[in-house]
Amino acid sequence: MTVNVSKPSINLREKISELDKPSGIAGEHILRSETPQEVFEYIGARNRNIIINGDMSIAQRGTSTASITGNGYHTIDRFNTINTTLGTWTQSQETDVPTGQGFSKSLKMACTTADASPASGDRLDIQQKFEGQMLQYLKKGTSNAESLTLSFWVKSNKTGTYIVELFDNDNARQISQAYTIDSASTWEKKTLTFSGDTSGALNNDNGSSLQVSWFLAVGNNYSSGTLSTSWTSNTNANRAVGQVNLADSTSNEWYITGVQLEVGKFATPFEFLPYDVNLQRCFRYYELLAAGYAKMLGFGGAYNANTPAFVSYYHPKRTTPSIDQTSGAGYYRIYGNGVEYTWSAYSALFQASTTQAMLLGSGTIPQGLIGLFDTISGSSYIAYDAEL
Amino acid sequence: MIQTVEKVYVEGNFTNYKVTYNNSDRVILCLQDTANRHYQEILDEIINGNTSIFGDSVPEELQTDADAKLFKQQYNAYGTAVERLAQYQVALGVEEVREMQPTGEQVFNEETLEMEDVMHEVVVVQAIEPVEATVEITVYDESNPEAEPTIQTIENPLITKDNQERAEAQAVVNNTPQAVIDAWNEV
Repeated sequence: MTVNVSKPSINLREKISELDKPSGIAGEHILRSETPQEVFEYIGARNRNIIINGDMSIAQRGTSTASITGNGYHTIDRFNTINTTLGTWTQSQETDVPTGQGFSKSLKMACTTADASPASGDRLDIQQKFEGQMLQYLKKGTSNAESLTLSFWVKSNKTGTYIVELFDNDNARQISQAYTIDSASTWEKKTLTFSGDTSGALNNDNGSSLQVSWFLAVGNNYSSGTLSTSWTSNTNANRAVGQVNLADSTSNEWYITGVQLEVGKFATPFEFLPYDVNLQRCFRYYELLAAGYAKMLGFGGAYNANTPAFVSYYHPKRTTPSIDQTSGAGYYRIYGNGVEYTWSAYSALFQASTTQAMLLGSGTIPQGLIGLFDTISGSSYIAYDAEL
Repeated sequence: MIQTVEKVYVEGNFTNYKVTYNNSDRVILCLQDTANRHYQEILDEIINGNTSIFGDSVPEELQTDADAKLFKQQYNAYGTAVERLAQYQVALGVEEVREMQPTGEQVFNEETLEMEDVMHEVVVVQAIEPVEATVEITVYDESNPEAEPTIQTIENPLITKDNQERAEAQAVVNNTPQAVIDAWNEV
């Protein structure tokens, strides 16, 4: 049998001329790149990650906090815990990380008191909040609103459906996406893409405009509706539909690291920042001044007659910070003229400044005394807190 | 949860509030600064009626800020509720609305001796059919897997959800103080 095959003719001269299209040196490099990393190197794509401290490397407050039953920042910088009476937890910075990905730290949540039947209004989630002024380039609330892609590594013994949410605090709008932990106690990389929101512009200020939340368990108030997978005005019942209850056993634990939230519909490789750059970014929201025994605080003297005081400078903060301190007899002191005077805590005169404060000891010292201010207890702790 | 709030230092316009939490071994000091989250937590406690944390009475400056925050919350909630109520009811649908509009062309009217617009009928509101009032669902007896499933007729869940959201929105409107409504209507 004979088979005749006909093919269209090819104009070789035309094809060769196509190869002669002009492209610059950079374009040539990109065309010849073999990995996404090389492409990013060439196009200089930097500061893509909206998340701060996504590699979980910075933990100024400490590396482990037990007995968590309420809201607050505990270990890893910038990651807030929301716990509305949904179990008791230990949060820690761990060295358990996905192999071969370049990460060295992860955030771990371990259940220490279970709650197998959450009340309707209960919720447990880990979140990070962002200032609106940092996100104007998302063009939220316009027809050109950008899509966002969230990628992260996660591990848990509790398999099943988990929910991640973006919440617009300025306009009470939200969008959720589900992801599945398929294999127990195995690191898995998850990528979720959220469409751009053409409604609700973010305030261009230093307030909390947007937050990303990883739900770990919720009550009926947050799960009785239909998961809202497109941007909409908030209805609590649609926020975390299908979420497993990580709090149902004290054997449960959940790890996360390598978190990246970026513009676009595709996840790019995690953007590693030098440790010092990461720390500097965290300082905008929290800065540890001293923790433990014999840590220097500053130099000062008697203010307003007998009040011990020194001027404390710190990295520029998002807003006038709070002072986060431990309090106890003999925690803090001034040492001057061969004599020490101690007190239990500080108050502050901020003068509404984001870079300096005058810290006032709660004790009394002789008029005219000047000297060194430091900590003298292993439990001493003082920090500036300007978190969202 | 905040346990106590007290003034610990006052000088000029600067006041520190000491905030203690149950479940915390640290003491938080914060300034009266609306962007400070600890200060916002104090205001939330006042709004939620937890004034016992202040001992004698709520400091006037805190009460003022809390009132302003509550007003803003109610204003935003009222706006959201009004917009929700303005949406059509899925059980009723939307009737088509037509009106006569000029086409852009004109013709000479020999009776009036003037040029007149040529009109045509335009749909200005598209009709939306109401959803089915009821739907049928198949119900299985979990305690007896071998039993035949039964068919039950229930209210369409879309209508149920719509009614629930509208009721919630109406409740917000009903509970909104008149001053907030007046402020909304002024804009």
